[in-house]
Amino acid sequence: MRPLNNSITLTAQRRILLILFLECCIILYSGVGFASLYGNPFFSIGVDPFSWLLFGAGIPQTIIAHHWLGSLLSLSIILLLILLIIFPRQYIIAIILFILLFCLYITLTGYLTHRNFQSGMFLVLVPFLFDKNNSRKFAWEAIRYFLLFFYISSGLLKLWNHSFDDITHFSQHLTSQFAPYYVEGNLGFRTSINLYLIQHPAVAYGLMIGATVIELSMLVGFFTRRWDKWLAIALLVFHLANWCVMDIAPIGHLAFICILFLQYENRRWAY
Amino acid sequence: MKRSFLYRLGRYSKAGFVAVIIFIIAYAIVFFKKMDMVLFPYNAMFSVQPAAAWHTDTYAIKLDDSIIHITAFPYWKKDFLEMSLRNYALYRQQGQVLYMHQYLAANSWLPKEISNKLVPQKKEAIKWPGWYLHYAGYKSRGEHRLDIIHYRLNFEQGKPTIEDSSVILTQQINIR
Repeated sequence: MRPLNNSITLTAQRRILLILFLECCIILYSGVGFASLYGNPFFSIGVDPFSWLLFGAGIPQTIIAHHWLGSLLSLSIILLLILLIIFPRQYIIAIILFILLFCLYITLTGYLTHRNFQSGMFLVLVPFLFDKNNSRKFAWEAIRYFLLFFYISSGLLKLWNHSFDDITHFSQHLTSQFAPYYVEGNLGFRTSINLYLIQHPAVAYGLMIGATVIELSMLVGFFTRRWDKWLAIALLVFHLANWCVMDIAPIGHLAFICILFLQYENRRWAY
Repeated sequence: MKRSFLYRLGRYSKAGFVAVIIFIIAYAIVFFKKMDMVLFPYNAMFSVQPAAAWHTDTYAIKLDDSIIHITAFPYWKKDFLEMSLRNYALYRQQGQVLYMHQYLAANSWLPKEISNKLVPQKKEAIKWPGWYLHYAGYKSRGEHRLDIIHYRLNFEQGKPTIEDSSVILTQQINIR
């Protein structure tokens, strides 16, 4: 095993952090964060041990109840991300940031955002929690496997639940994705695509097959890293289509997906 | 075998190896029990057929008979406004009961002090419409009438038509 080339590794890690930084800026700028949820008295958590842990301790409720605290924590996330981009080896910063982003994720999901593709916002920080080079390398590998599993399991669920038995399956799901747009009369390019796919179930069915093939193709990553770059591109295309067709944005998950580019960049240096 | 991740990890760190194995086992258990899990939000990933064919339900809030528009907001804010409204509407329709209430009633092993924090307090939760209006940018002071409307859309003809709409909650609200 050849030693890691630190300069390249750190540059690549900075790129991942920069993407995460931009994602956090977009999320906070769009008006979603600790401070903007100030005073929200209604939450609903699932049967989820991690949510229980934080809500049972009253942490999200306390943050939401104090505007100054929410503002301070949101600002801390941005400042710590900048610091970590400058000093990516400072694992203490990463630990604090990981806890803050984990709290943000639990708070957002508890106070009822979609639970789809946001967990990447804290999972991507796992490797930064380690000080030693080799430990960090193993952590990168571990979260890469988890990322692959995440998508494979999604594809397997569709096979398991016989989603392909009915050609109208995806078209029927699409009826709910833009419902508020129709009620408000806010129509445009994306609602036109949505309606087209509802009216043409065979085309929607083909899209679902394509999406499932992309999800299941992540299995390749368990045997080789040679195709990582293409797997990442496939996932980005998948999410772009998701955003367009289903109104589910991947912001909060992009840095996590981009670790596949990182692995590709470092492949010849890491071993 | 010797190139596999777990083998190399085991050679490098016993603690790391044990941690990963525990994670995999714990993950498999919650996954097969269909529990929501923070690392893998289990929501069937659109694999299960919708209950009502070619129909969908959605909700909106009207303030003094004018609908509050949310879809022009940036994605995250729109998503928040949409999802929290849907869940609050269902919460009120079901008599201020959430799934978590039922789960906790059936699983009373959690201490009362903790389980009370896992569900919103009923007296506080009904103040949610005020928060929603503020979050959606409504700052017109004074008394207003607020309605939460349930819409049922029908797509059987390929285009959405409102098949049914009903007011599920009406209240006077004072914006300060």
